[in-house]
Amino acid sequence: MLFPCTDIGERPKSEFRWGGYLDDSAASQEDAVCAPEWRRHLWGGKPGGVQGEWWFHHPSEQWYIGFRDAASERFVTLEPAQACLARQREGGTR
Amino acid sequence: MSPKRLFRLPEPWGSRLDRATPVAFHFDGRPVSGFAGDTLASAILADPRHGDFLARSFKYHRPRGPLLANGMDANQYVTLDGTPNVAADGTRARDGAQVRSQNVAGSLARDRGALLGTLARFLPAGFYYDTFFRPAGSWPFWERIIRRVAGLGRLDPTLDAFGPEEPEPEKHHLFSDVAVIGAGVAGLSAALGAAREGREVILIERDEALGGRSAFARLSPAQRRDLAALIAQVERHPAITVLTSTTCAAWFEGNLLTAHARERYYHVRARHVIAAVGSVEQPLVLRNNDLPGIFLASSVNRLMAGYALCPGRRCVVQTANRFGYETALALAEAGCTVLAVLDMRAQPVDAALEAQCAALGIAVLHGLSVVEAHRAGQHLGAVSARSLDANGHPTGPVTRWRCDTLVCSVGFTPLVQLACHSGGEAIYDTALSALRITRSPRNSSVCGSLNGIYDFDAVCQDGQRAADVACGKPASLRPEPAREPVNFPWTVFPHRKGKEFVDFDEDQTIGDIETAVQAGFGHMELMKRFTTTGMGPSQGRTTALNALRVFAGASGQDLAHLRMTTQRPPFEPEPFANLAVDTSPPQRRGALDRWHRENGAVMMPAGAWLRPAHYGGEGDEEGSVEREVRAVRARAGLFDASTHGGFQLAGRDALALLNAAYVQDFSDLACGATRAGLMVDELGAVIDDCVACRLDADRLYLVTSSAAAAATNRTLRKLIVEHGFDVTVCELQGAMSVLNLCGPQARAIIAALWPAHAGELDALALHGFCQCTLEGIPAIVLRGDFVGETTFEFHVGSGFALTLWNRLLAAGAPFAIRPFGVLAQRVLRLEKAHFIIGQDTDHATGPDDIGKGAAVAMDKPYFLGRSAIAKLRTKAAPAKALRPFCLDASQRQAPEECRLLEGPGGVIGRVTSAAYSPTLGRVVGLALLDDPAAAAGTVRLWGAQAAGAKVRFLDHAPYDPAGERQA
Amino acid sequence: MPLQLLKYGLGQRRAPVLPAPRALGSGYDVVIIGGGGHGLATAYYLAKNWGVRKVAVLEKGWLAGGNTARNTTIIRANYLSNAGVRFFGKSVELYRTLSSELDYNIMFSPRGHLTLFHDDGGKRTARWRAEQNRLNGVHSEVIDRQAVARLCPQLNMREDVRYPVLGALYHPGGATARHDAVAWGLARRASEMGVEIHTQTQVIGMDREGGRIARLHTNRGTLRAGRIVQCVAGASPALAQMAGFDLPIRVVPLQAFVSEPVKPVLDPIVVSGNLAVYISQSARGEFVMGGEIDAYPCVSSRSSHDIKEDMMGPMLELFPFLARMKLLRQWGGIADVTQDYSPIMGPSPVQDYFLSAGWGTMGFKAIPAGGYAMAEMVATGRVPDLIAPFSLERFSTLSLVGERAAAAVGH
Repeated sequence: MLFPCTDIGERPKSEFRWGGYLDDSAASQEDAVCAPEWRRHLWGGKPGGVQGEWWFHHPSEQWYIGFRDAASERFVTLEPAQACLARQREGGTR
Repeated sequence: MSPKRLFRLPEPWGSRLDRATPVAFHFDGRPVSGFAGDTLASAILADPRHGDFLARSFKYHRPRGPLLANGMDANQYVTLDGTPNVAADGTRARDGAQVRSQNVAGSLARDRGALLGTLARFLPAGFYYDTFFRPAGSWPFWERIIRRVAGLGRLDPTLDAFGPEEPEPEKHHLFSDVAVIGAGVAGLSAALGAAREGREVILIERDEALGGRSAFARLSPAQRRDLAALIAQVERHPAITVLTSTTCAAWFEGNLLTAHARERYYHVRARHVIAAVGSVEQPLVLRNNDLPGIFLASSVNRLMAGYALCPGRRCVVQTANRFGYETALALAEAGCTVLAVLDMRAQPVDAALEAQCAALGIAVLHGLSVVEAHRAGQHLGAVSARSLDANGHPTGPVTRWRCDTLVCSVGFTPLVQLACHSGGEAIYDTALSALRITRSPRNSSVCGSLNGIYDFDAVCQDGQRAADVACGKPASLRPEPAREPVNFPWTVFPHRKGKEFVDFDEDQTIGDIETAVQAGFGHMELMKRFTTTGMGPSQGRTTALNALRVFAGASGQDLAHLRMTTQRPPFEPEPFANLAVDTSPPQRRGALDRWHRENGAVMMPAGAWLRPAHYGGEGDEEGSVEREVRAVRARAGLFDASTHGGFQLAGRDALALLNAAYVQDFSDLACGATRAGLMVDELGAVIDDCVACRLDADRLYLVTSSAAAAATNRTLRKLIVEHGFDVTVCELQGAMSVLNLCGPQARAIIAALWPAHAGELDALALHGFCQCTLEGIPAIVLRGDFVGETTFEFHVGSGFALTLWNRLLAAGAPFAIRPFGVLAQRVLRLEKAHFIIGQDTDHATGPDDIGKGAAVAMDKPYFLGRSAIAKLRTKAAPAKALRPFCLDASQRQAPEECRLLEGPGGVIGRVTSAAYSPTLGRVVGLALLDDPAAAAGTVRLWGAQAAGAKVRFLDHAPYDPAGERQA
Repeated sequence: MPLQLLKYGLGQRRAPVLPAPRALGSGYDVVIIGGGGHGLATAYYLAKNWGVRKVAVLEKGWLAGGNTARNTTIIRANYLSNAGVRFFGKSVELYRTLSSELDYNIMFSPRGHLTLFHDDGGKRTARWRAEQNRLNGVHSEVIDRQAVARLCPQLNMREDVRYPVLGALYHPGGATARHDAVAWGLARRASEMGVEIHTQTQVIGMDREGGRIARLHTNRGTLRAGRIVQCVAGASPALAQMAGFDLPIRVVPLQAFVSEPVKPVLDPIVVSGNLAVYISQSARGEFVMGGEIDAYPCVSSRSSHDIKEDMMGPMLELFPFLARMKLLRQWGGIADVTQDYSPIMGPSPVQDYFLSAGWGTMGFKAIPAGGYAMAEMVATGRVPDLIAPFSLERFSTLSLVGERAAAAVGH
């Protein structure tokens, strides 16, 4: 399978390692102690639909954020995490 | 042995043969002579010293002649030079080969296993589910017997991986605009069409030459010229890479094709894939349809035209399309007597072909089918035919022909497997009575017989159309060629005495499928599993169509709604050896690896690395570890700690990064100071530790554990982007080497070696560090404490490691310095009760469990695992405890690590590390206790005798509890 | 020739293994969603042990066509946690007599199970498992390389390879069984006792009223259920979401491979944790192999090449002569994985709705014990001690089952 990265083109899946769901990440974890959120924190469990995910690209040692449909395995976007989060932050302040 | 039927034809038959070059080898110990270009099978079958078949079937050990004759089915499997399950009809004969028949008890001609055929009534599909298990536990007994009967070839575990003739395979990665699978007329046209549009094309063909079925077919002179021209143009075209004798095994997501040649494994990545894989002819299902002497027309064409092998002398041809007539004419030209052409179709369709037959005196009979084959010895002796009614049922009287050959051409199944791997769908097209691909995968097209197109010119056109699609041109520019109905809808003729084989690999008959349906297996997938139909080496290629028809009949389901069972890779069995190329896990070695091995080190694996266990050579592990420990305690030792993870962090948020990654608070870490860190995962379990050295305002040097270095690298980088930290990370494992000088004489050695730096280094406090350049070697020098003696850790670029190592050894020589290995280091650290993450902790051990709870800075707003630790601290259960212990001096034998410990109330925890301490004269260790309170009572190794060693827990390190040695 | 075989040949055919399809009823005491091994075992033990017979098993595809049909049939109990060892110990015990109990040959074949280790970390884990196994009444032991060579003389015991074999955790009770037969045998006995099995019947919606599921909507009609059991590996989070709650489960692909058949050369089941591969040879003579889970969420069972290739290098290091073999078929399953590599069995946030999920790579070996305990819970409303540690609640309290260290491979 090829992963279509915005900056480095199509790369084989074997170069990547899955790194968790996007909203499981540190920033959203702090109050995740009550039960349902906690469970989500312990590995998502969001069946179907397009979801944000972290992917580590081994050769470039760079984190990517991809939005992917788990059923079809197709990416909507896959871009460097830094750019993706920067845009999200911008959007958040607007 | 029955008289030989197969024989060699003179030239010009045999386009594949080089008759000037003989080839000699052995089959079952007896000589075979053939020609260069022969397959193993064609040479054996043509040799009058051998019989008409070279394999026996899987279950009933029935003799089996060539079915597809192209290496695609299990009926021609032999053992070649010790390698089992080699397709004799797909492997070139070579001088000196030792070929053996397989799955026979006794000899190929007289196989005791054939007795099973007479018991077939007792062995219907799935018989083993209802028997062999009483009395309870008797299955293993029967299984041993069944396993011996099952299986095809015999694999000798003492043989080398590769025979003397076999080079190790290699892997090639190829990329192209267009990949075409199959170099028949469709594939050749498609490849040429795409290349002419300026595309780079890779053409993959499993046969050794181009042309596909047409290379052996009866073509018109014009078609013959066209084919030759097509082949020549493809071979000459600079944009087309042709891979022959290369089987495409699978078509994965993203248009990745994997393909196998004898010594090569290909990964082919293409923007567009054109499947032009063609089709295989399907057998008739009737009693004794597997007898040697019964052939498919396409196989006869191949054997005669390619290998000059004539199937017999008295032939009946059963057909339902033009191909049967063509083969009948070829047989007549070869000098065979063609007794009759039986055409299942009620009315004449191919007038010209019928006229040619008539001209040669061949009788053509319409509306007739062979419904039973009769044996003569181990071979076909006669066939019985009857008329067919409008629904394909036999009616009326039986006509019988004595013959030695029956040639059938009643339909084809396109090789839909590859297209299905990649998401295509195969349906049963009732108009064609055939399987057909309806939905092609993305960025791909199919052409030729996959579309139901068989006519030479129409196939050329369809290949062109596929090329147009591949090149982004509208396919509608060319007319869609007409589909040709080559399949007869009724090919199944049950017989009350059975033996009508649907699956030749697995010996499954009509009755077996009916048995499955009666037992309630009313779904194709369940029927397949119950009967194993389609599960043999040919994976349903010659089975799927007839199995669907038989199943539809038995279950009363409509063929149009049935789907063939899921097709899974590979298309054809693929060699393990090819798959394994370049996939051994890498072995990492440090910069000093060679020195260690040249100086008596016994190396031990540690994750991806090899490290010196000790330096005493083989044989005296205990003695050398003791000598190394004593050297460190009494004088000096030198340790290669180069597998440590190392990171350089630079940027103004470097401390903030540490605060996010580790449980401790690093906010006030001063320049020039160090601090230890502990990393936990999202469940609060300890996963790594570190020592952070603040080099200056914006730079940190981080030393982490060896095993977790890769994971820590990912974690740090993720935290940086998540939090938007201004830090860059440089991972240094292997790039930096770490040399630890330890022992009471360490200071003296440094003073002797670098008088200029002695003061600075001498002044370092425990856990302090400095940066200096030692005789041209830039270094970070740390005062560590792991082994409990004065320790200087030299962190240097790996290029300097050997120089520094030798200098330290030379300067230490007057103090009898010794290099020491991992085993001695473990003893030394145990004497000091230092834990190792992953050994003394596990996936459920948090900071609170190892006495590090106080280091956790819960007042930080965030760090990795903070919420888990908060959660764990609300639990009522007490934390575990990691406690040092020792045994009585009388016990010299250390308990195995991970032995359980038993207190008065039961098991209370386990030993995580233990070793005999030569320094203390007793066994010391660490134990992780689930129930720390129980440590107060009498604790022994669990399961040991009552007299077993009592474990004495300590509140301090067993050695130098006050840490005076490190002052 | 065994007597049964003779009878069989002489025409004493038995009742169909799988009963003919029938109309879906409007209500059942218990509805089990998922007609794989766990669903069928739950139905079987409900009928057999508790007399609960108004039971329907709903299967969206063909019977046992999910992970029950795709696993590599290994049965073992040499787990690490107390809860895991006890539970799987019970499962192996039930498996031993299942053929006679079901009157159907599930081909339970105790071959012995070797977990090789190649470094001292591996050895420690092996020792820990051996101790935990013994503590909980399961036999396994750490053996040295000479003993490994005796038990499996086909192994490459050379020391100059990337990962020399240093020893193994030997579990004599490790076994294989014919996966399909387990499901078919359970289905037949369950339906003989009155359980209805409806295949091609997919739950497409649930009406939740007053904290429980009032109605289940399927592609074949709507029905009511006194109690509902969910046993749908690979679809667990999706179905739970339909019922109105989340599960701490990630669904990941898992691949398996078989070779062409050859005469028997390999008797035990061999696993290497360091190398992340495992292999056994089936009664048909095929080598059945697997590697690591593909650690990313994915709900398709499509095959891929990288796991196959990554597994093969280490496999040939262990068994060089296999270089002469050919791979016949590969396939994928989708596995529910939890954070602690242990299943989830017990009540759910929805009343009268019970869970059997999170089976990861160990669902097949758990079929009898899982069904046995689930049946008891559904029938009595009490959680049996055997499965109490596997509650969904453990994720809220972080009282996880410590199976992570031993779960790497060796399905």
